[in-house]
Amino acid sequence: MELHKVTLPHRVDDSMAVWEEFKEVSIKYKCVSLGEGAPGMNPPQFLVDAMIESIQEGFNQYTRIMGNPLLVNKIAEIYGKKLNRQVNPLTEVIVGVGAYTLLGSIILALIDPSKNEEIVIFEPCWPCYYDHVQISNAVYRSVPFKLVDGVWRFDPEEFRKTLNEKTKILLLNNAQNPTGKLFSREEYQQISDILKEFPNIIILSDEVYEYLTFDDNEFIHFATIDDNFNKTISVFSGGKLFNATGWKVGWALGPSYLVKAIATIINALVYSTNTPAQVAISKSLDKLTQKGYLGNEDQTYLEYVRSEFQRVRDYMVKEINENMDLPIKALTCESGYFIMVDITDVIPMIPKKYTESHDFEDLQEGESSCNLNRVYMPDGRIPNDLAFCRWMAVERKVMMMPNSLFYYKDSLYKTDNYVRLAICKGLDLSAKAILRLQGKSDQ
Amino acid sequence: MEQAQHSFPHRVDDNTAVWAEFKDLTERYSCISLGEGAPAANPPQFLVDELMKAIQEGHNQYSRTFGHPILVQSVAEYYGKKLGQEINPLTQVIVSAGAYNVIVNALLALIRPNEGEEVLVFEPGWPCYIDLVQFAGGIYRPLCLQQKDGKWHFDAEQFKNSLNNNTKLFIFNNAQNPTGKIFTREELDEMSKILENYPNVIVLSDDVYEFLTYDGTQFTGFASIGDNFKKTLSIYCPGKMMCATGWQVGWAVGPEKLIKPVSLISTTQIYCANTPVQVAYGRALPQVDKPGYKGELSFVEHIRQEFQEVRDYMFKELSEGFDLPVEPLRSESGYFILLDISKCKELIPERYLKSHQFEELKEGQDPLKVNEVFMSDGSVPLDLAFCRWIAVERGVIMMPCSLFYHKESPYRLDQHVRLVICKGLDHSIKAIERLKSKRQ
Repeated sequence: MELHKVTLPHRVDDSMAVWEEFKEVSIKYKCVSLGEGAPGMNPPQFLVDAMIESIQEGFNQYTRIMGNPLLVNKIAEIYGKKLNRQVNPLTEVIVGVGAYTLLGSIILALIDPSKNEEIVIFEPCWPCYYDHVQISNAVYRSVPFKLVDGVWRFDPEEFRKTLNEKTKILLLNNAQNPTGKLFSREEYQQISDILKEFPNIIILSDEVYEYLTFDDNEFIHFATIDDNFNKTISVFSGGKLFNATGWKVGWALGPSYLVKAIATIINALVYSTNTPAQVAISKSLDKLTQKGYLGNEDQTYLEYVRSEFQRVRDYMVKEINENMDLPIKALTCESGYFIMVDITDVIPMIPKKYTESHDFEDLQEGESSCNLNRVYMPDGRIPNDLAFCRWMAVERKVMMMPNSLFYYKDSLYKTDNYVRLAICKGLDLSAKAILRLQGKSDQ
Repeated sequence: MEQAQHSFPHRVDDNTAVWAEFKDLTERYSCISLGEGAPAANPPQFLVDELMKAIQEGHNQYSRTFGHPILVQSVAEYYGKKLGQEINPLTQVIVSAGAYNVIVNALLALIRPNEGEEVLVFEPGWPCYIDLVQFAGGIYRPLCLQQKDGKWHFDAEQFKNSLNNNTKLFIFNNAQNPTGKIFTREELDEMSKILENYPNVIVLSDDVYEFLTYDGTQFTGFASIGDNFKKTLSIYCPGKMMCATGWQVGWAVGPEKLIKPVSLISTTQIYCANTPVQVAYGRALPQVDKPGYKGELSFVEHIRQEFQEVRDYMFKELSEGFDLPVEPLRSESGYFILLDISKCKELIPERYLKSHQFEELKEGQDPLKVNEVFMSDGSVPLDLAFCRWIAVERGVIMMPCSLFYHKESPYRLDQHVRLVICKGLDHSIKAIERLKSKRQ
């Protein structure tokens, strides 16, 4: 018998649809993808070896919900140093199924669903924050970044005006996705000072790319500014750190009253996180910063990763700015997996079929279209960056992400003149993508 | 800096305290544990080899959010056979971060919070259902399993009377924790018939122990009966099946109409499950029933035999030559056996029965943080008193069955304790010898 009439809750929008288009188009048109933020590198052999060892040692059953003791002890030691304090491994550290799950759990733990509590986020930003905000019943408030002399900046007045007594969380993503921005000490001090007027705000500091700084730039942890550790939860990603995003182990540090609240949610949501992977990471964290990686006396594993990603970044920025037939301008980035490309000047050149309609495909008899993302700018037009991405996917077979997707759907600040390219795919794939973008054969 | 007054929502009770008492007792009194349902055995080498192969092949990054293609294909084939159903791997399977997470995702996907939607669950049952239903904003309604002559029965009249227009879900744990009961074909048919009168009720069939049947008893998946597949989500746990509970990948199969909303929630909560583990399970699944793992036996047959051996050993040792008048109940499946300890009441020292402050503390020793629960007549639950007594004075941890009921359940009994049979014979022999030696 069929289920006759079952009403299901609407806890979160189906945003899967958004990303489905890019996957489908990529496959259908045989694109090289500079879209998804997953690295082209494999995890280091020392992590893989540690994994085998952990399994053979018998770490295969449920472990401590807040995190395996071996791992939380190592995290407290290493990240305690980064945060300039003694961190208690048992009460000030929590492990989750990837930073992704932790971010969601933290928001669920802190937001009262009946009080219209607000979360403030700088845009453009990682779109999945919106899903976490929505499922916790919070209200999403954004503050825009604007490019000023080549640096992404926010207006402190605009920021202050967004805060009010309903604001519960300030979500700070440093080594920011998609801009790669690193907050300066001055900016953080500005924010910290403004927050003194709003003592009820808790800071959620998304630091998943904190290790991936370029040009020897400094990464600053908000929790080290003033007394902010006492009201900040800092989130880190084992998957990104070790180029193993599929292994799904993340961790967060903060004061015990916050960590305890988060632990209750983690306990309800996932129980515990993969045991052998936690132990493997605990054995491998120190090796990240030991010289001698791949036999190179002068280089640690992290230095190697940074230099490889920086190499790709520099190559792509140069090729796009100096050897491209289309008038697009790549911006460099201070950190992370991505560069932004300004497409303002190429907008008039985008073929009409991409700018005038979502049904841009030339379909053959009987061929069905891809699942399309029917979004519009506030003035009703099709986002130019989406049109550009579709044009490049179909005709030059390179997939990129339109920056307009990195604003929430009702954002007042949405722009559509940038696209985001991944620089995490390794030089080979990146070179192939660049050749295609330049209208050349990639053979 | 002044700490601001932060108020956090109460989305779910913090019941970690419940289990913390037993962990603390284990440490302080150097106990051997027969408490937690985690196996002592390690995963089979063929699974470990598949994981290493998956990692070497490069399956280390984010994968398909609903489940890796290699795994969902394997799951669709394997469980399709079990359920007698053609299962579409892309639309009728969801993989999440463990069976536990699949269950949470399902409850969040299906229950409209705070709308009075009711969820029926047999008791005694896995206590986490209570928390998870609360977390999803549903109303937990217990159904009673009753024990008679060593067998657990469900009451069809009660089942019928508990259903109403507010009933949204029936969480049906077959190969049941803690009783080990396997529902017979007749019982399943009866349940299915009763549910026909409430065609909007969705069934969450928690089948995590379906592989672990004893005495050749047949397990029948609820979804395999009649048209039940169309309204049932069947949950499976490879961590239990392959002795890798810490690897945290689990899955459910069901109709697209149910799988799709669960998949959306899963994506929002975890994005995707561990990639190399998924690939490893996908390749290992076809191997678990292959003869020749140990002698003629397949891996699953070998596990059944090992666990049954422990079950039979413990049953015998606790029935004969044991100074305490406990009555072990037969278990047809799973990780546990139950003991009826009602005849032990007179033997339990007064201080365990009288209050929650049962410890004889040494100089300078702080009392353990304990679980202050009471029966409806105000007494300390007998099974909790028994477990504390045995922990302190005999150094063995067991679980009181009264914790496997909702605190306010009208069916709550306190006459049974739960022991695990998943720790292997060596550990189990040590535990039994401790139990019988009356350590001072």
